[in-house]
Amino acid sequence: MDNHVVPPAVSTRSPFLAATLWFSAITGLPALGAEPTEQTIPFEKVVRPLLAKHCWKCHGANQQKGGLRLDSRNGLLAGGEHGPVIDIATPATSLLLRAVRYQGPKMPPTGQLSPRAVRALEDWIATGAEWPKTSRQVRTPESNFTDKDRDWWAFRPLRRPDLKADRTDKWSQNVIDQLVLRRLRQHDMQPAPRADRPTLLRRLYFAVIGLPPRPEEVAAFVQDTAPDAWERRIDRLLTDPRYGEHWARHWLDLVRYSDSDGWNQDAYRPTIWRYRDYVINAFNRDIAYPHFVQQQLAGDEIDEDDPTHLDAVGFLRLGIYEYNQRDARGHWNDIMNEMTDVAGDVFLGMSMACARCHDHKFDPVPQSDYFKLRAFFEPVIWRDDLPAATQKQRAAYEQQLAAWKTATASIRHRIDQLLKPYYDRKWISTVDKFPLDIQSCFQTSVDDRTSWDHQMAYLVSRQFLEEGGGPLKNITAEDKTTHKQLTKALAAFDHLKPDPLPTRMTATDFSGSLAATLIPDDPQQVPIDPGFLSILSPTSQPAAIQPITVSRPSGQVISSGRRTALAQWIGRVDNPLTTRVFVNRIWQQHFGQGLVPTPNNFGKMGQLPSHPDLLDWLALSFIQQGWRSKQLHQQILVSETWRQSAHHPQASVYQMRDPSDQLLWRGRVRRLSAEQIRDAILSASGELRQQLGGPGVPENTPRRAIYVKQFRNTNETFLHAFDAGSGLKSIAVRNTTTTPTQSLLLINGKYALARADHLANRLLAASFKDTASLITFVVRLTWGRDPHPAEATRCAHFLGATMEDSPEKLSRSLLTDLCHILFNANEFLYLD
Amino acid sequence: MTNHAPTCHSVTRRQMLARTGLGLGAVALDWMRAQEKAPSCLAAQHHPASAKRVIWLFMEGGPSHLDLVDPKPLLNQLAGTPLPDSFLPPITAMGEKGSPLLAAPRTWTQHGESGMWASEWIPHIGSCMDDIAVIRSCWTNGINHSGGVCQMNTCINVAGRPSLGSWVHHGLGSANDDLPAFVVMCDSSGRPVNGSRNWGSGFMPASHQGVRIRGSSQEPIANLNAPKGSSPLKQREKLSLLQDFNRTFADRNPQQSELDARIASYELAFRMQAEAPEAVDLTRETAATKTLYGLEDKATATFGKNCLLARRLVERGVRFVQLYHGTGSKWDSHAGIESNHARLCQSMDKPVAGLLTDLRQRGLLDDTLVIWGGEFGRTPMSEKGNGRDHNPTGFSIWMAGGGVRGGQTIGATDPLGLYAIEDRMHVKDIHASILWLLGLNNMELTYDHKGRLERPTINEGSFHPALLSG
Repeated sequence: MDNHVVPPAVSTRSPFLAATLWFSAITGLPALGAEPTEQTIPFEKVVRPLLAKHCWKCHGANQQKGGLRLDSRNGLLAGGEHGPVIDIATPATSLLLRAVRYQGPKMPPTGQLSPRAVRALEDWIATGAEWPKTSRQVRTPESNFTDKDRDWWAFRPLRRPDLKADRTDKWSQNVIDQLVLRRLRQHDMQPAPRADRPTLLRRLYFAVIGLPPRPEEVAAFVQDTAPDAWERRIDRLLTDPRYGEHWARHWLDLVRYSDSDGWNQDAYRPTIWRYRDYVINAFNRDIAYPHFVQQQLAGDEIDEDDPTHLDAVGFLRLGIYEYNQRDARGHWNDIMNEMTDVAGDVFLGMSMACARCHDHKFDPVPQSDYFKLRAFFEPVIWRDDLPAATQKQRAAYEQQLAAWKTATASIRHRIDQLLKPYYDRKWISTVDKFPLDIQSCFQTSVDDRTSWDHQMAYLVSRQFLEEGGGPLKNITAEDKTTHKQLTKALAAFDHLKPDPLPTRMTATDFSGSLAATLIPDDPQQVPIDPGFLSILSPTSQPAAIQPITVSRPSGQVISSGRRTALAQWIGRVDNPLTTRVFVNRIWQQHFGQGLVPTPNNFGKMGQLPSHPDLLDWLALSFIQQGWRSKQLHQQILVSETWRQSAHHPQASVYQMRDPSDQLLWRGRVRRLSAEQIRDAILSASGELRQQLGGPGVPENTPRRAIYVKQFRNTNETFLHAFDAGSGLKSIAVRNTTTTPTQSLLLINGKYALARADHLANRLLAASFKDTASLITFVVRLTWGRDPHPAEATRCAHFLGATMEDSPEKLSRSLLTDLCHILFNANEFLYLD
Repeated sequence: MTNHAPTCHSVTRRQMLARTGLGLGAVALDWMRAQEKAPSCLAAQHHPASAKRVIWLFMEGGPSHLDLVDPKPLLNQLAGTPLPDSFLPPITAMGEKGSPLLAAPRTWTQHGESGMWASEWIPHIGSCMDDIAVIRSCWTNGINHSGGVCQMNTCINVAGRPSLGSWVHHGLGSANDDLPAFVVMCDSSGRPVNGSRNWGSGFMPASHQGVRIRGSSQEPIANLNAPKGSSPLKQREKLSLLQDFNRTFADRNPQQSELDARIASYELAFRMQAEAPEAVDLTRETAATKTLYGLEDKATATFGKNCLLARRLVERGVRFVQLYHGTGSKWDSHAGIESNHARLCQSMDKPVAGLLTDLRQRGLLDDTLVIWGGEFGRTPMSEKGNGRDHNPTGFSIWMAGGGVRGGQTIGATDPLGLYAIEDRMHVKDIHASILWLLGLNNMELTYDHKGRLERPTINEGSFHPALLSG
């Protein structure tokens, strides 16, 4: 195991190549880059699944009835008691084909294959029965999980590492350190010394709240000799509401949060920020992780009068969507599939998407598992009619509204009569544009609809509501005048009208009959029940699901309970994936790299954990302490491991021993994230406005980046230049690029320069006794430390001043330039 | 470090480097250039390439193949009648059902030795037909503009994957350190459908994304110019201060090549500042060249300029240039196709032919692949009486240069031009073919994303050998 974790010292500039070589080193198999290319998708998508499902039980690895194996090309050519079953020269006469056509031996005996399936086999044999040459990693199907599959590290139960007291260990503060040190010693390495106090405090502030410390906070810490000086700062920052603003960002990356629809129009989603605020608050309130999961997946099924639960279900609204899609069927399928992919990535750390089209080639995830997971989401309908209010607020609203309704009944009736023809016409023209099957979903009355019909009808309705111009676009002049008069008359009653309740994007289950989940390429179209990963549920039984009664404004409704069942399974103490995946994410954000470097992929294509014992210990301890993130942060931040300096006297030797930088023998030099850069600039310039939550703001508003409206189709922004995501896919690790575009943006762009100008003003407004103290202050403010004497001299020289000069004499323009360069400097952009 | 880490940390190299008189900046610049050349450190070609660079003329909104390069006599015979029952009725984007067929009142001419057909709307392109291979059997899944344009750029109609230019940059790197490798230009200040996401790098690092160049702007690349009121001397002083700071920091953190890379990125930025304006300076072109592209004529000047810029950029090593024509779905002719297409063809025809001619004269056409086409074609059925709806099930694009054998058609649509029926080429096949011509095998070009080897054509699609051999 150990010798697998550290990649061989590959002297290459190519991380790709290095990764590939490392992979081969681990598996002893050909590297994936060498994967054969002649594989044909119809085989993987259609033929292999067909054979697997219908033939391999009797003619596969376990049984070879009639001496026949159908799980390799050679097996088919060699045949069994009746000779070869395929004939490449005259494909049509192949025994296999005669059997599946029920001309002769009738196979499969349980029932004839569909004509489509037979045709697929015919085509495949006619074109040479290509069987892709694959490495040995390619898996056999569901029924054939091997012990090796079950024994994959990520599927094993969490195991408490054995912790022997080591009296020679004077370094460790806690178990994290003990386990890290144990690995280091195995490689004959020692940890780096602790970083100095200013460095540590800057690191801590960015790590916990995403912002730099103020100069006086650094000074206070440097002077604080109390033994618990460090712990107190950690505790204080973890209760700072800016903590949630910082940590929510990582979660929002994972769930591909965006403030816009995507597709073409990329419309702004005016209320989706409620989900963003939910996440910020969830981190600040330190909600136990299983509840956090449940609220997002199934908050609508929690029958409590807490409006934030429905905000959390905004999770089911985050995908790409556009009203203007005539192919409603394809559009909704895309939405559901993508929802399934994200759930697999985020909660299970399993890349499920491969299994959408075929059994996963490397992990024990059969295609049916993908659709079992999707089936949990099948009843979901999107809701825009559930206001963000408590029941009490709603009741008050309804009461007031009733009074207004009574008073305005006749005016409203006249307006309705006037507009009815326009609305009717618009409905007809909207519905008419959809394919006939979609029209019929819409025409079916709600009571008779299936969940699928209702989903289609929803998409049609959104088209009606949002298509350009609206129903009154072609209103006649006369009707327009009348409409104006009536609206005016109605406005006279506005004093009776309650303020509208705030709206939001959320989702619930459809309460009528539920459409079946089907595998698109399944010739038999067998309905798939909701179920968990087969490899983790030995019985392969469908999930036990209890319908749930929940209160809605319309009264009590029944919800399928499917998503609650999923959330509860994810949150089970014995689910080996959930906790490992989550603690690994937190670790990654603290160290720049997870213990598993592929945080959304704990399968065979991912990388192995560098410290499996540490990962398990963190997971167990997390569970034991009530699944609280803040507790986990605390443990990490007090460790000596986290507090190591980025400088190690043995660095050049150690790099050769640990070229992929996994053994944690020093702190990592890391660039700040896009948000941290922008927020730190605003913080230094003194412009940053602290205000928790609320609707999104334009990019030039001096609030934290998490509140800046992010549009999926616009990637030419400051944040995007520094690798902020676009909200199109789940991002578990951001790229860190170094590009001339970034440099041009910082050195020539207006934004950074304008902030520097603000900072210069701030400096000139303060009363420094001399240039030296101004320089010290501004370097502390931007870099979090005192300038070295040479740096201070260099700054003064740039300003054309001496250290003793009064700041009043300084050129404002030069001072702006100095501030600008301080923002551009690596010392500002990086943490060490 | 993820295993597809975009920044290539070279341990040994840093250790090899003695800090010589070259200065760290120069060394780092060298290092960074190496990164730019092979940004994801892939080997170059998988097989010998016939094309070294691409100019993609993107007719945004979907031009009518039926009115340009795929004549259908039957369409004019049946005009006014409904689509025959023998045709499966398609889902139309605008939802008009049962609309009668619309005649294509074109005058068709056969051109060159090959005798290839082109309509009177594109006489200049017609004269280049011997260089052009028309693929008449294209099909796609995207039924509306957003999905269609997204798919034509990324192989799939749902957002999130890298565009073809990013894949080519990933596979081949850049041939010029001082210019972006993947450049996009639009023929108006407007926004194409989907905006800059069309040239986004998807799950790849942002360094692979296309850079929009505004040729006629004072600042062709965003933030290229020094801030107002800043003299070159002042800029140099600022840069010198910055690099002093950065070197101190790098000295304190010796084994961190990313820090060197950032030093280099500033030097590169300044080189770009010097190089880019020259690359887009059309005053250096002769009058004859300008005439060739139609720069003196108001109708053709805008796109002509972009075509000429494209030539200048590929000459300077830019790998992948994409020109949007009709930016903002202007080719979308649901009504009044006659006036719409006549106008758009006029603004595009001469510049495109000029580009082909100019490339040929300079010997660049041999290894420069020119692609012309939209996100889909248009229906034989009418819409709103005198327009045509989107047709993703059968349409034409054409290719020239880069080793493509001209003077041929590949594939065919049905007799009404609704469905591609012969030698069908899906977008994935089109992309696979483009990559193939560049020496890249669409199944071997991979990018490790989340532990999964992603391929540019989503594991499907194949090169059409007729493009080379006919």
